[in-house]
Amino acid sequence: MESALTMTSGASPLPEEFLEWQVRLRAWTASERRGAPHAGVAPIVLVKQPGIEPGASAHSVVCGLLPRPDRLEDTTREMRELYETASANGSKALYDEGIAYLCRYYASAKDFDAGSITTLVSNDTALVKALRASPDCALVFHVFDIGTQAPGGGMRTQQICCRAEVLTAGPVYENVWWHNALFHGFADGSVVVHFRHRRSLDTRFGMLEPVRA
Amino acid sequence: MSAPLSALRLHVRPRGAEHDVLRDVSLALREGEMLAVVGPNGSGKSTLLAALASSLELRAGEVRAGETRATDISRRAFARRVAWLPQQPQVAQGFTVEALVMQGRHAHRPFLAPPTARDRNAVGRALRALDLLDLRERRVETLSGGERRRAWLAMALCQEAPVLLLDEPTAALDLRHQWEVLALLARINREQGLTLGVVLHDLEQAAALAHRLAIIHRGRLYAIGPPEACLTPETLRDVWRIDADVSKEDGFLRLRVRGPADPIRSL
Repeated sequence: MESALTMTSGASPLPEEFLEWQVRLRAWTASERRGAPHAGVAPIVLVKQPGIEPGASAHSVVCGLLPRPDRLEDTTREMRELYETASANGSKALYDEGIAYLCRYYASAKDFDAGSITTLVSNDTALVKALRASPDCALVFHVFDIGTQAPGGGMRTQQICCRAEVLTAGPVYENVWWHNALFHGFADGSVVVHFRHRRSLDTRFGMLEPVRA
Repeated sequence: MSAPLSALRLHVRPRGAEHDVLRDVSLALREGEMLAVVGPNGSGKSTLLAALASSLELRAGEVRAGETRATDISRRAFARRVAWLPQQPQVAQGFTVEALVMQGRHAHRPFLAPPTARDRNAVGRALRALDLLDLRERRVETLSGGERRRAWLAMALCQEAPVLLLDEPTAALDLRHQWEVLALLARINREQGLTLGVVLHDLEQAAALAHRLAIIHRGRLYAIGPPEACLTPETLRDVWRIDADVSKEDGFLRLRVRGPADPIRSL
């Protein structure tokens, strides 16, 4: 069956159920937690790092979803306009308007790029150095949140194998940068990591797969 | 009508640093208002005041005195529009109080020109306003902390700029002197129509004194507006990370701090 999801080239689609969980979780985070990140949006990134052999280094990030390609520039423009109008009243007002925007933004998994996950990190981190040396990596989502009210249940064990690209400019960079600016202001010295999905593993009953270079 | 002093999208980055300590801050002081700049330690309050005083190199953005960009006029011309008293001003040993206050007249007279009658009158007025006439011959280093603070304030007043920026004018003062300095600021704001931008640490004092608060948090403007609109329990949690009640008693905002708390917004 052909998937209704669209995505950037060079990636394979994330499991639909995973993407739907991510969208529902983010909508819930925006509406119920004023945007405070849930463990489900904060995977560990495993990446080979020069000097750490065998094995991989682990890095904690807060990740984001990317709008599907035909919505990318429109959403970037909306976020930028929101920033420019609301920031005059201070970061609190901007944050609250940003949360209201996200409550509408996370409406459907079909609005998002089915093959992409992103994060914005400081350029001088070990993660960025490692990804520049070896772009193959794994995002490990381990959520054990017993009694949680979060949608999608309290237990998730998933390894998302990706190829990462470190971006300092371009439409994807702009989108992630302005999304972040709504909540944390201008992120000088930051880069965007664009993770392109290759395949996914449910690690509930098994070991993590090694990161392959 | 343009604001007497405004900042547009200011970014300040100290030399050698990798990140901005002031990030995309825009605000305008309204004519005749007292704006209190508040925020936790290290949030960027003093940096903002120094930037507004055009005393810092900006990475981006601009400061305007009225319609005029600060970078388009001389330091002396800017100083006739904006006076700035930093937190810990320095003066060479041996200056008397009167000589210190006379320093405020530099913006009004040519380099090395002797003081005019107008300058001497301005010094007299400032000494009188700060109750320093009896101390005019005293050397600054022999003054108590409170007296010294008043001498510096007199110097800033003597500059006769329509905008006065003061960085923690009540620091190191006992309660009586704090009250006197704040009462003086309220009086010159009310009677002389001076526009004041004042960094204060005491939130109740700031709320009692200022028409508006500008709350600085992590180098950004968190909120700006009337004290009762800005100083809310959620603001105290987000910015100061304390759990507190805010109430109004006899027309004044009062805070009752219960203890530390996590912020509501992950700013």
